[in-house]
Amino acid sequence: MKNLLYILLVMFLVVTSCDHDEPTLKPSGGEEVGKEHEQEVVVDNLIICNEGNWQSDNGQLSYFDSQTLTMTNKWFRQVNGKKLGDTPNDIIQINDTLIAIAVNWSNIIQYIHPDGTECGATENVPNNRKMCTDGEYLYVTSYAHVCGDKTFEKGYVAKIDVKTLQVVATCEVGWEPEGVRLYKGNLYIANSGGYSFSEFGHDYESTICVVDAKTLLAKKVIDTGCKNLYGEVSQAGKYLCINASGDYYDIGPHTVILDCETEKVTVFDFPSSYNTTDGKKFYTVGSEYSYYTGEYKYHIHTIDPVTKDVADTIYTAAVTEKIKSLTSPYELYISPYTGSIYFTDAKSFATAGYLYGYSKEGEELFEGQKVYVNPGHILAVE
Amino acid sequence: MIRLETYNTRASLERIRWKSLFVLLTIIVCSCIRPISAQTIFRDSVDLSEVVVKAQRSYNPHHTISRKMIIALPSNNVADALKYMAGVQIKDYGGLGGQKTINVRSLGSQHVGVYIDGVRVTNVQNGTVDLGKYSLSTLEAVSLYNANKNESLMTASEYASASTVYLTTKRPDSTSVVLQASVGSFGTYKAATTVSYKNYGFVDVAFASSKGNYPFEYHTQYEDTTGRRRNSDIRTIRVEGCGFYKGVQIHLYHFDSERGLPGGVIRRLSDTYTDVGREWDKNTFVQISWKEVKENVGLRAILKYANDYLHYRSDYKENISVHANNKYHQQDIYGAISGAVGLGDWNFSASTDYRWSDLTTDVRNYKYVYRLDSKSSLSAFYSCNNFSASVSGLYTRVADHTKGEAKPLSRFTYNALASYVLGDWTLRGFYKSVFRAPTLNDLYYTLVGNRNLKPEYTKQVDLGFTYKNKWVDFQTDVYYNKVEDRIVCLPLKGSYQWTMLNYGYTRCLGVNTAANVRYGSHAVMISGTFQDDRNKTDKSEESYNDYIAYSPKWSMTAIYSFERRGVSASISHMFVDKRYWTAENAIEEPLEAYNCTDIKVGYKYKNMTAESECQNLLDERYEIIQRWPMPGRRYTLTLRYEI
Repeated sequence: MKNLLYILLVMFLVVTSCDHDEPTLKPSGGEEVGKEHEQEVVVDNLIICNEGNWQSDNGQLSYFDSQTLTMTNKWFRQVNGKKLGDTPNDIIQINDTLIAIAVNWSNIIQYIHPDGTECGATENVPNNRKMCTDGEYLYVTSYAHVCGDKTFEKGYVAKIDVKTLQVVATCEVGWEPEGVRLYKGNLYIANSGGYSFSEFGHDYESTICVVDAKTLLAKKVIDTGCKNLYGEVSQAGKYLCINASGDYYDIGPHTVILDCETEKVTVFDFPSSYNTTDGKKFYTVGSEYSYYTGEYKYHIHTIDPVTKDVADTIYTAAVTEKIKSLTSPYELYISPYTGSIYFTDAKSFATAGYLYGYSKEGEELFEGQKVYVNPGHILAVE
Repeated sequence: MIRLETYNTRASLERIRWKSLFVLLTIIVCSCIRPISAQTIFRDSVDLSEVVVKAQRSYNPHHTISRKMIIALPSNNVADALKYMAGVQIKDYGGLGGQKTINVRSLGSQHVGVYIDGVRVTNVQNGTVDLGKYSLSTLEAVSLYNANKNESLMTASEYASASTVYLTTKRPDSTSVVLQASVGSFGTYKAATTVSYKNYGFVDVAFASSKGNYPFEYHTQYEDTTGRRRNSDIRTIRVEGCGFYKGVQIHLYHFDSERGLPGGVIRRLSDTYTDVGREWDKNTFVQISWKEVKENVGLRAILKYANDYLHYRSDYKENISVHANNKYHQQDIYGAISGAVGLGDWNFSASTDYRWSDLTTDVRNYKYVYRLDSKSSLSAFYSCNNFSASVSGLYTRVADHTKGEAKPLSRFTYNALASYVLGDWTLRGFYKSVFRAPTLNDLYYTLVGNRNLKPEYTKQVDLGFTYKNKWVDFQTDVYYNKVEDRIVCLPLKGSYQWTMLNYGYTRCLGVNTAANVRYGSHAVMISGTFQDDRNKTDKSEESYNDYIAYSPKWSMTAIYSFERRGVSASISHMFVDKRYWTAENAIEEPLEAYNCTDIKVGYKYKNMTAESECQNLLDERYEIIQRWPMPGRRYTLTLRYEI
């Protein structure tokens, strides 16, 4: 009886949802536009990781379907019937079948398949921040001082075997390590020292730790001379783009470009709070805040790491203008598949944010899509 | 599936409504059972306790819970009494240790002034008062005034908040020693003793401790969580003494506590990681007030010193987040003088006060700061036949002294009030504009503070009436208020750090109703609030015109109490409508409406009194703050011995 009711209900839902879908499909472009997109393949399927509000347990994933140009919010909940957790702050693809989400305040690394279904979690890396992978192992930075029964004075990077989802090795790095990238068997970890606003034992960090990815043994420390290496790190070949936030008082923000081959550091005196790459150049949006004036300054740049040339645009004038018009830029992402650029606006940080997308040529790919609170991370999936 | 869920929720909501209706009906029926001639007339205890100059009072909407009612209620602290008043929202993080603050008519907790015997309790650091620290056992009455109390001889500071809560200390009417002990659910123990000397004073000492490890549950479409609160314990000691001699009153207060800070309940895979933060508080104050009224002239003076210490620690080995260890020390010296003179139908009152406060902390990069806050007020009262009116102006000057620039702030605000008596009816209305200066935290706290903040303004208009006869006291008010330039904390763009900003404009339209019925040994108090509290910040935002988070549209409370021949009983009920918790309402389901019923029975035999109470009788699972579950059903047994 129950089953019958359920089937009836499902049928009812299918029928009614069809009713609803039909009219919305039509105005979204008609067949011609749809085909055009299909042929050029400039729009990606996207997973947007929304951080939610701290301690509100409302981290959410949104899924953008490039075929229908529709956004599904609360995707993880819908697919898995459970909550994602509190403050997810990174999402990366490990291999064809596995995506990892670092759910910071829930102390969980959540794994999902590209269709959104969950497939395990790692709990041993609390206060996790950023990740990178070589397809077999996942490397995660953590602000915490504990990993299983190991303890650390400062922060650490953990190596997780994606077959078992177990931590197989750890290495202590600097205080509050942030971005981690892999180049020729070495991990490069940017340290922030971000808790120093409240902790007494240390100051802001200005170093990058180099760790052997295979053995997870520390190799050396590179001093960038710039304080508080906070936020995302992008990688274009041997070059890394790292934001240094400064201390918001007397020490201003900077952007650090590291050449992993020569370990030479180039410093620009603007921030790159949000940065991304198309594999050649770095595209950055920096927000500069001063506690003295209480004011923000925004910086939009394209950096060529080879020539060290800097332009104050991103892609085209249309893209640059659109980014400038955002209330609170919160993420900038270039798809490795299409080269299209996506960025988000967190608005007032308490209301749902928006996602925008443009092709390389500066063509708007879709109307601004409403996502969820604090859309901080984007991942294009095939 | 989804539709089934909705249906279930609706069904359970329906059940809840019936439950609340049933309880209300029971209360009303009980109160009507015996219509015999009235023995006592219900009167506001405030009216009795204050001696004032002739022709100087006009009524603001206010609501008082008298000592009788306080004793009858299952209550631990001042918040437990205030929550029954119209227009009040208590913010409660749950358990005995959870912070409890009051928000009146949606103006924000920093706009509510709490006054102990006319002297404001201040928190220069963050501007809010944790009501959990103040006991009901020494009080004669708890009163809530919208705008402010309106009589002559008030200090300038008494005009300075949008709403005011008065805690009136009880002057002992007998010489006695009371010993009291109680035991309750979740490892709660209390012991207290009060030594009173008739007319001259008392000493009250109380100890309380609670494990606070109450169970909680979340069952929704997306989660099945059960657990117990951890790191939710508290231990407090309070020593309080009060002396009365002619027009002089001296009050000493000391509170000492240690508590765990449990954090919100969020998704975790196991209990491996837990919130470990702990807080120690030491609050001490001593205040002396003097008042003398001779014929048409009155004088009043107050002196107060307060010393508040807070220690927060999270630098424990097992902590996986910020390892902080910070101490905050605040001092406050306050002096006030006010005078009043009556001239026929007129009465004039003037007051000036001066407050010096400082904040010392070892927070990194924090520079020592002290604040000089001076206020002056002038009031005129007019009363003729049935009409009375008053106008007050308040001048405030706040100057901070610290390293670097700090601009002084000075503002003039005023309020006006009129009332007209028609037999048993009184009609009244008021307007009040007032601001709160940014607190020291708002301005100077390392990596949050913003020195460019403007004050946050509130403006209120109220129109209402009171009906009062021998048995019934009934009042209804319609109000409209707005808050401008709200001071809020927002994340820094491009960082995980935060900053204070002036952001937001809200307005609230509401109706408050309250009724007191007292008949023989029965008393009933009912209150109801409707309010429409909306965000009017920015038309281009999707949260524009949405309901303000945590602001319910409807709330109702009812208390029935009975006392006769040593037997006392009370049943109290509270209904709070659903509340949105996100600024943009549409993106999340609101917190469900809740009902909470408490009962208490007591019996007094000779010198012994035994009381038992059950709070949250129906074991309702609810939250006041999202992800901070409130405790379910709990019991307390109390024994009291009086010599």
